[in-house]
Amino acid sequence: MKLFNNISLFFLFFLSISNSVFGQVDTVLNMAEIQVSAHKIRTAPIGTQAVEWNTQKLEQINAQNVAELLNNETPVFIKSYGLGSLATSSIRGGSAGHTLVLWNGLPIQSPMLGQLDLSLLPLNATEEITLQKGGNSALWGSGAIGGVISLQNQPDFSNKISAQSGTLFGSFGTFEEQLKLNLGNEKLQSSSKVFYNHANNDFSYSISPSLPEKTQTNANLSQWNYLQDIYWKINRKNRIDAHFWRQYSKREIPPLTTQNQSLAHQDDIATRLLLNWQRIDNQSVLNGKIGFSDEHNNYFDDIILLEARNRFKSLIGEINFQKALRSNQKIFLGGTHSITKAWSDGYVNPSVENRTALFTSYQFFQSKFQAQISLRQEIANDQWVPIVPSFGANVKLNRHLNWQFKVGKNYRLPTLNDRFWNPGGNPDLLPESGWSYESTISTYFNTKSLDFEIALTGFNRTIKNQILWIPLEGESFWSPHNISKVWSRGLESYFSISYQNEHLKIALQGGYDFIRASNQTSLTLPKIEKGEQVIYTPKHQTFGKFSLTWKKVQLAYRHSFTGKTSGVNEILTSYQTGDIRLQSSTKLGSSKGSIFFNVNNLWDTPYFVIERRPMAGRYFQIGLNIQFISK
Amino acid sequence: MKQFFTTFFLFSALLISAQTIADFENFDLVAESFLNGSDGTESFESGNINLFVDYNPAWNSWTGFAISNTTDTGTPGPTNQFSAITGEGAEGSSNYAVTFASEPSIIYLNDNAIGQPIEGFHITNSTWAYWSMKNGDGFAKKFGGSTGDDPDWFLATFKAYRNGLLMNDSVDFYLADYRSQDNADDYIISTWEWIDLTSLGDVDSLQISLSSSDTGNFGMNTPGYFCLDNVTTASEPLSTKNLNNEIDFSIYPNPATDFLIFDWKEAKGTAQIFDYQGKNWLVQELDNGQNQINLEALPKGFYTILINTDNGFLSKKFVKN
Repeated sequence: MKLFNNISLFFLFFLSISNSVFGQVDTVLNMAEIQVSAHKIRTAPIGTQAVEWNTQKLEQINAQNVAELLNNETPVFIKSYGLGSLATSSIRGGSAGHTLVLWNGLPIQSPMLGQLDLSLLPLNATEEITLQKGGNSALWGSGAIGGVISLQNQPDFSNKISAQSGTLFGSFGTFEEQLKLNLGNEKLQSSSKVFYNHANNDFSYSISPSLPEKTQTNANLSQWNYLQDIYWKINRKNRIDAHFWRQYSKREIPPLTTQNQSLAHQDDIATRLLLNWQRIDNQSVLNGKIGFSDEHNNYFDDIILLEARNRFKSLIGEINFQKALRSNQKIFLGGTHSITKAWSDGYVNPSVENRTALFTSYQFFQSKFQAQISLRQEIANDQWVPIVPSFGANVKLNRHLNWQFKVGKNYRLPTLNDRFWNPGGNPDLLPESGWSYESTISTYFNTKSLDFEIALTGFNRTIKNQILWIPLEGESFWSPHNISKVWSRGLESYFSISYQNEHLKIALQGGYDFIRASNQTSLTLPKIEKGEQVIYTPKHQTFGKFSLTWKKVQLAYRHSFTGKTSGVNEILTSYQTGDIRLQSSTKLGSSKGSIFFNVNNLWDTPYFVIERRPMAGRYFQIGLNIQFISK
Repeated sequence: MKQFFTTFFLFSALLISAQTIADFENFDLVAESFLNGSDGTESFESGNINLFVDYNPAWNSWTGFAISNTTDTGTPGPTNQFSAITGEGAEGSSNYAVTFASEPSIIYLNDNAIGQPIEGFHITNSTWAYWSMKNGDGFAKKFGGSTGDDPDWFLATFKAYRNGLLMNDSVDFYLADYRSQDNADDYIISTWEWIDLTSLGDVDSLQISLSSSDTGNFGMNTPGYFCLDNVTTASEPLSTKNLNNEIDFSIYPNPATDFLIFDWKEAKGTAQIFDYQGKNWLVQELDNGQNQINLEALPKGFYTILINTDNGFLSKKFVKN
């Protein structure tokens, strides 16, 4: 029953140290690239702002999981419940359920909650992370309203054996260890990854200058991840990938500042399997995949003697086909079907959901003009979801000036909890849906040593039939209804400038986002006034990052400002935080290593992202990464 | 002087004999159990009052009143929503009533007590609400807040319905009060306390509403429960017998529009119609045979028809469209 919100997009690109917006689009428009990467038409569609991080970039970033990545490297608003606790994204005024999360092209958020805890996704689980901002339901379906986060595993067929170790020690009993082993040859590759982290998260925080500091309690975190990827090049055209991901997370839930004690804890256990087949011909790519998830989310509170056990199993299959037509067009067709069964102490009976969707997209591109039109039709539980179209265009106004535009309809299907929770579940809910528009004007130029980039995006989105849990007159419980309407609009600005010579690189990036996400309906309970800002949606957010690289040593400082927000019970004041990172890398033969030192919340700012959930003050991390490579 | 005392004691005896106490001991509960309507019961009668419960079997949820004898004073949270923080009924008794009153709940008076004062009753916190206010939980704050200085309060307000109208006069009772400048004066009720309601005057039914300083966008965060016992009215009870299972009684049409019809083959009786807030919309003497009640003056909504007879009472719910 919670609402959220979000932030901007341009940053994303630039914060990722290299790829520019247009670099992404240009990649999409490169035919050769299309033939080896069947997904660019979906992961970076024309008109969409997208940013991509690969392994090399991720190694230089002060972040251990996807939530920290987005929080530290983009202006996406991350609703963090505290160090090691639940973290969800809010993009452009959307809720956590308005961000779709994909693993190798298949959705992995909980169908029961409609969202995913991004703090449970370690960065080393993947070789590539892409963030698309804005609506993308025509290509990705339900939930792709605010944005899409995509995790992609990638093979390395360079016929090398590599072993990698990463170790991190930090404040509050933090210890992380990750091991990665790549074996294989030019035809068969295996990638094994193990990741473990533990933290006590017993940081001190202050409620008021006149009161003694308190120490966070019941905040232990332990996480295990094991991933196994197998890539087999059957022949020149065909490849099969198999992926296995086992995840176990055990977390204590710390007390609120208005709570004396908590003995609550939560276990998240996930098993994910994916089989992917890809056939690449000269002008086409055929891709089929089948995925299976079995996930448990169990919550215990030993004070109130509560046990809440939830589980779902999901089987999903997809096939898609992409073909180049002549030299300046391509078409993409696909279909997907999923079956989900869920069990919960909150359900009377296990709930079952079936979804089937067909989607298509067409791209046309010239040197100065590119356009893409997409269409999706979904049937969920025998109910037809209205057809979802989208259109995007990119116009190169001159050598340095670019204009992008996108319009599309987006939707989110009700979650299983919305439909089946006892009491209150409403099986007759309609999907949330609405139109979104966005336009970006940007300029870019570079010389041998200087790069400059500036971009401004405006967006406008309305979501109707938004689902809210409300108490009906005469009922003793709350139930979900399609009664809310939210209008989000805003401006996202970004600039980047960098200077580089043989040994030195200086880069400065910054941006400002303004997001106005207003409720368009008034309600008594929950108390909502027409026109008021959606809770946990800062109107103003700014961000700046300065980095200085001298040979193999890099010093980076990030500073951010988040405007005030309103919570369920309280107003949360604005706050500023700064992080600093010093990293040095070295190479010995074919092996390499790096050491880094992070100071997070450098200015020891006391702040809250979520009311009554204190964030940590200044804390430190030191880490060592070593990679051995042999032929 | 002797004559004065004789007169005083005679008068007191008359007063005492005119009191009726609803102590809920007429419910035969096994140890550590409760009645919340899950057995099909729609109301609980004790003394001169009727307490209605609305149980939803599809959702396994209830609202209104429950009768309990559970004694768990240590477990907070919804798994222990039927316990009083005292661990027993008032004055050491076994049974007591619990109300879930985040929306106003109503104590209905039986025919013989209608229009007469309610003298008062014993009141205390539920275990859930007590510990929630004392320590906070994942939803509601501990009273005093993170600094201990927040002027928090949890308040029960009582108002009388008389002749179909909700009176303005009210009696307030603070189940917790942290408003004092001196934190040492802050308190959360953990014993049975007597609340005097005679200032409300004559009462047809009694509305109870709860409010709390801990209220956010999603309404009151403090668990909306409290417990009551020994509801003392000023008259003798007519009958405490629920006749719903003994008399074949049906009303039609339901949903109704302009009128309600039913056959009445029993002895003399009186019908009353209450809305879900406890407002008494009409009183009608019943004739033997077919009776018709005009509903034109009633707004659309959910209602209960309560019929009192010399032998007991019965009730039915209906909807007016």
